[in-house]
Amino acid sequence: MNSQNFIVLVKAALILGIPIALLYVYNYSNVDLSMYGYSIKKITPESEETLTASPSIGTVRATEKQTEIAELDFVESPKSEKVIPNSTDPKVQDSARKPLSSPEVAVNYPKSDSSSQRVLLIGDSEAGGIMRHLNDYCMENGHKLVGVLSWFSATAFNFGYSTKVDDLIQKFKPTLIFIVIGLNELYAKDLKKRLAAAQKLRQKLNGIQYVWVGPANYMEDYGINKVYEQAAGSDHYVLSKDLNLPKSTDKRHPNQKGYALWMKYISQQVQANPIYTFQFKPATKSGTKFTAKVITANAANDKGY
Amino acid sequence: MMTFLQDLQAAFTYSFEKPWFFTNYSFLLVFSLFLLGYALFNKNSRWKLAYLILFSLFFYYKSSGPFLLLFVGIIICDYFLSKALHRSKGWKRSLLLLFSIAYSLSFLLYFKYTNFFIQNLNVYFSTGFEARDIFLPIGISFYTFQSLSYLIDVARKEIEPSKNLLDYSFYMTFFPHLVAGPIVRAKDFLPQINQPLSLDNSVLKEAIFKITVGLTKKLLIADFLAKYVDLVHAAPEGFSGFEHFVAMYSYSFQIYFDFSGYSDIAIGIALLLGYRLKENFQNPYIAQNITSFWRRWHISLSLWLRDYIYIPLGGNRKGTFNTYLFLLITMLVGGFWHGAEWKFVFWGFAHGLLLILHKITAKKFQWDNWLLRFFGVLFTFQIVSLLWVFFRASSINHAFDSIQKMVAANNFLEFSSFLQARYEVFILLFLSSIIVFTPEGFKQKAIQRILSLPLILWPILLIIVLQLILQIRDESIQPFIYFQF
Repeated sequence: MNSQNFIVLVKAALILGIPIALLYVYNYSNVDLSMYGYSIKKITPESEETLTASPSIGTVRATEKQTEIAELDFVESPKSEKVIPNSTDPKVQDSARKPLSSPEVAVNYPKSDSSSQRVLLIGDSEAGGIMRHLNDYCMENGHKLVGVLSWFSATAFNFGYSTKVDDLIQKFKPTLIFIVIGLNELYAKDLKKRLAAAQKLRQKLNGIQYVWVGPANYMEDYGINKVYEQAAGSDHYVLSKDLNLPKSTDKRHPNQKGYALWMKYISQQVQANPIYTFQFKPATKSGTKFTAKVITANAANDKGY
Repeated sequence: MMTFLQDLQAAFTYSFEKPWFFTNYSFLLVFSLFLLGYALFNKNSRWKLAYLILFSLFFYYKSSGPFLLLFVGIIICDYFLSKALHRSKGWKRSLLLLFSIAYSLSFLLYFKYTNFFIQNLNVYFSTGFEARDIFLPIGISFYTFQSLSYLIDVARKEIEPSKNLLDYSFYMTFFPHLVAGPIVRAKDFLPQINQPLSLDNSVLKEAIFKITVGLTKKLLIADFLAKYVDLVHAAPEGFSGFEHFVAMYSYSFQIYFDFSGYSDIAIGIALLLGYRLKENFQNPYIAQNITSFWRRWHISLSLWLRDYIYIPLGGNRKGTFNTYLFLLITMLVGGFWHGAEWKFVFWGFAHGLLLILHKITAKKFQWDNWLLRFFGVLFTFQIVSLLWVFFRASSINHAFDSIQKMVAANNFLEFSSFLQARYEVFILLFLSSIIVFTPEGFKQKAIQRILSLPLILWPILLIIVLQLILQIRDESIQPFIYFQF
């Protein structure tokens, strides 16, 4: 045996192995170290890599979440099933429970209203992501997407307490409003405050028909979906938290394929919902001419109130 | 204890959601254990090769699961094809070579380009084919090119075919370059296979340094910049021209640190195993022109394209016009190799045009003035960064939208609010610029100083880097950008 090679390889194994082994020992120990007030993080267990920073943090969060939700008067939905927005009709519920990969799921209620809608889309970054797909669907059904507000990083507070939505309604005079918000509030625990803000937003709609789309969650939320469902009214709310959409590389937003699938799902929910009388069939073309006025803002610089 | 056992089990089984990368801490742990075994086998070259091949196959299984079987099948077929090519003569050899190229490319074409062709047939010929649910095996673009170069070199009589299946398997499976290059040539690598191992402390330090630098580049710099870049490109409409402008430069640095970081780790690991892979990057962003950039960026791919596409087409031997044409074709192939989307084709086309433009102007202008050279670096970096927008954006249209925003709606007064809101991105961009644009001489001096540190300090240095990564990284990790090609 070549002793020099052997020694160098053993040294290499030790130089690489000892640091990583120490990190693993710390990872599996019950000790939590800190330095200058900062906790020394552990290797994220591979099984929970995309969920929580560490198992202990996850446990605490779950407890807090239960407490907060219990304080609010929510309409509870069965935990083991997806929440089906809008109808108690079992046909509708069954259809909406089917997986997203099954495209022909919706029970299509007859749509008596063939008139063209002026559509306004408001929301956060996910609104910006979905707007071109919404445009395709509007074109397909003879509607016109007239305006988009994509307010990056925005929350219920921005929409509820600013005058942006009022101004846009004044400006575009929509007959149908799509709202897509919530992704920035999955961590939110101050649910009572957000419910008040979301209710303000609902009041701003002032009788105009609307479809309120919940966020496509990248993690379990602490109740923001229930807040929005309560503010919107469950028959106007498209719960999207359980959709397993393909994500972009930031692991948070859907990618373009994800947005397309999401739009299809929203269309199915609208078609299956008897309170919406306008046509909203799936688009047969993508990339249709986009003429809507897009207004963008960033809540980091522009809170709006 | 249960968590430990579960993680241990997870370390040895394939997970579709969590394929193995060099940056997985579990990989680093298993690799250091593997090195102990390698130390025992290091004298007997046959056992050493077999042991390394087994580990490489395990690594590929952890990265790609059942596609391991396809990979093994390709290796076996390649081996027998190369034997047949070597024995054949005249037109039979030409026919066999054509078959070999078609066979080798068929897997890449199927897995990577099927849906691209289906979608375009549907769009341009109004056909109604359904897109297929095809998963792209990791590394197939790289090992297909390696396989092709081997078969072509054997047919050209530039190399002898491998004497046995073990040697060829080793060349193809060697895990440091398996999934994202560098693209190794058989004529460079096969002669190294049976050479006796010769390791010493300086090689050890160089290897550990490369691995540490690679981890830092990828996990501390590239992944951090990726968070901002991904935010902008996930919802491009929601960002201002200035934010797109910053995202453009951020992506330039991200892709460089990501891919060169990967290459550094690969080269470092190969060094520890006694093999030297060629450098894949040589300070590409200090290139003074686009030709120089392509001699410094992803060098193994550039050379592959030159030797197996540009020169066989005719290179510069068939007149000026044809030279430019061949250059354009080569860059189009290079672009298409990166991905089955029109944006990559456009990206390759634009680089081809720039290369032609440079060839034309270089004959007329001599860039021997330091000021011109300085502006050459700035201009080249700028144009390369601009073209990276096509690489990163979700489509050509989005790329043009992004560029339009940068040009038409860019308010540089946003700088101060950007600095307030995203100061960490700014700091990282500043540091990246210093690293990227520092002259090579300074870098080498700094590296020599670090390499002179005593060995005992290296585990301490490594643990600091590894813990720092844990402290600042998000819970999710960006896969290496070049895995997807």
